[in-house]
Amino acid sequence: MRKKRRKESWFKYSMSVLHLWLGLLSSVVIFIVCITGSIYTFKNKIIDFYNYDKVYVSAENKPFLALDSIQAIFKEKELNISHVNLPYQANKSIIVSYESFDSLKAGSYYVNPYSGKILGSGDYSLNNFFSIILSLHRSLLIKNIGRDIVGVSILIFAFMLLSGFVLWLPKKWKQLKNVLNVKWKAKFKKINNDIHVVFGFYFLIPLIFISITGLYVSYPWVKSGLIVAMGGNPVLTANADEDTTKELSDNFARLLAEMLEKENEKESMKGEPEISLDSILNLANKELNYKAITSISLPNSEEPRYVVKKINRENWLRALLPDVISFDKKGNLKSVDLFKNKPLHKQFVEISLPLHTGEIMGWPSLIFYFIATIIGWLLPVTGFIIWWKKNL
Amino acid sequence: MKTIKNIAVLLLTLVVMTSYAQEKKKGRFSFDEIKAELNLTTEQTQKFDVVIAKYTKIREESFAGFRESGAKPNRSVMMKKMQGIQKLQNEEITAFLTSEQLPSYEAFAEKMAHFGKPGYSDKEIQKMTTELALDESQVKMLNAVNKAFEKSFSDAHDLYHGNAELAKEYRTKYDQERKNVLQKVFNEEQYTKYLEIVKELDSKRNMDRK
Repeated sequence: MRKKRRKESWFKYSMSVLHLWLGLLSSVVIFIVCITGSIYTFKNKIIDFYNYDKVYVSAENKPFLALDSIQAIFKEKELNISHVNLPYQANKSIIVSYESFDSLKAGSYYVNPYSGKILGSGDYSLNNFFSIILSLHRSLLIKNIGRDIVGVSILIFAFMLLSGFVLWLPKKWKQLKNVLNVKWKAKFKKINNDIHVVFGFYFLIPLIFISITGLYVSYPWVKSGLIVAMGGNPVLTANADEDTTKELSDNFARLLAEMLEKENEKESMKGEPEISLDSILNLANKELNYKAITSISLPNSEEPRYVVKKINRENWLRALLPDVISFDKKGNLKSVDLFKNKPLHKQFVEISLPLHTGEIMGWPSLIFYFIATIIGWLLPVTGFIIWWKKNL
Repeated sequence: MKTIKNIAVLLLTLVVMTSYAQEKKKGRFSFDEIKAELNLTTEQTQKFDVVIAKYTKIREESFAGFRESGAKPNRSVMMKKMQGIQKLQNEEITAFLTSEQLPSYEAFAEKMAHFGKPGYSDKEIQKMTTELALDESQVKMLNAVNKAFEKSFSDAHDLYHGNAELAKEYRTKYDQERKNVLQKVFNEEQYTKYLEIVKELDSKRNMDRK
């Protein structure tokens, strides 16, 4: 361990020592978590690209074919539609989930939205690869203790980012320019040092944000802390307070009333003809009047209602925020669950995953997160090289 | 210093090796294990593999249907869909099993069903209906309260996700709510019998989880 320099404060000295040793301790895990995160970020886009000829179609200058016509095409093949996913873009296919009349067959097809032509089902063989990447990201593929190893390492990483910031702070304002730019023409040792220091500073906030949203998954106390900070009750633990348990009891009572209403609806509407898919889409668009990715789940033996979900992007960040509404078989509006009306802590819980993965704003945030995670795994690598070179 | 470097290299090697070792144990339900347990004939093995491959593909396709870019899929709707697919898969498999093989597969299928369905299964509700001699309105209430349990537990998923202890807390809390409602719906005798049935079911589920 290095000795404290003469003019160095104890605070900066201890930060420096902890930064080095905790960094060495967690570097391998951080490297794996960041590199797998940067790969997994693009899972959906890669799978879409892998199924390019089915997922993408030529955009045409006309509206999509009526859903009722698509339903008729499926009926001809003795298939009932159970779920429809309508794209936002003009050059993407509709995804239709189906079940055969005799209930012996089920699946999903990509459908050309202009012609109604069934393009076939997707190839999802890459899912196996991504599930290994995800397990590596979450638990290093180590059962039981893997999650804890990752959790502790991310906690250390968050500390490393903060202690790194303390170490980054220049002693004099004049030196600020030196810690804001990478001298690309310098020797490897200097470039490596600059990448670590300069990019570490620029990506400090995004990486802390990604770490915290990741820790939110691993640790109930982080989850509780964030939810309480946003005005909610802590998560349920053995020592939960009265407000927390009461909220859950009230929630259960509300859902029971809803389920009873649905049970009655099933009885009262037995044999009633269902309103058409296009009518439901029109009703949903009247209620949620914006262009969006839209999914419709049709009523079945368990669920007597149409459930429509639209991904609202009409906000200043262009973030993907889900609104859900439901209708009974006759098209009467039964529930409206708008993202904007939810309390802040529930909004956060709702979008915590896309906030962590970078899918929250689509391509722009995906690319930004990708760069951030590259910096994330470069930090332990460049940090290790700094330590290695110093000790050669 | 050399020792520290060696430790760093050793740590890296260990993580990579453990990762490989653990990967082989991946998967909550092993179709290979049940295949071995059923002692299938060559013909049955071929049929079994075809059905599993078919429904694995269907599951993946269905997930794609629910995968709206950027947003989480509707968990309750998705789980119901998965349960339907599981039912179809079970029907196709049981069609070519012998009466000796059936009980083992049915036990496995029930274990799988419980994973995707935190509430009572249709079979369990049927058992309660018969053994407690429930009338029509009681059955309706049992179904509604069971669905409220499932939806509450499913809605809390974002809160307990990735933490088994936390999930258990939510399950226990909502189970108590379910019992509180049913205590008012059933008469004393029915409720006592109901508690006996669920005690048996819970211990079976706990065994399955282990």
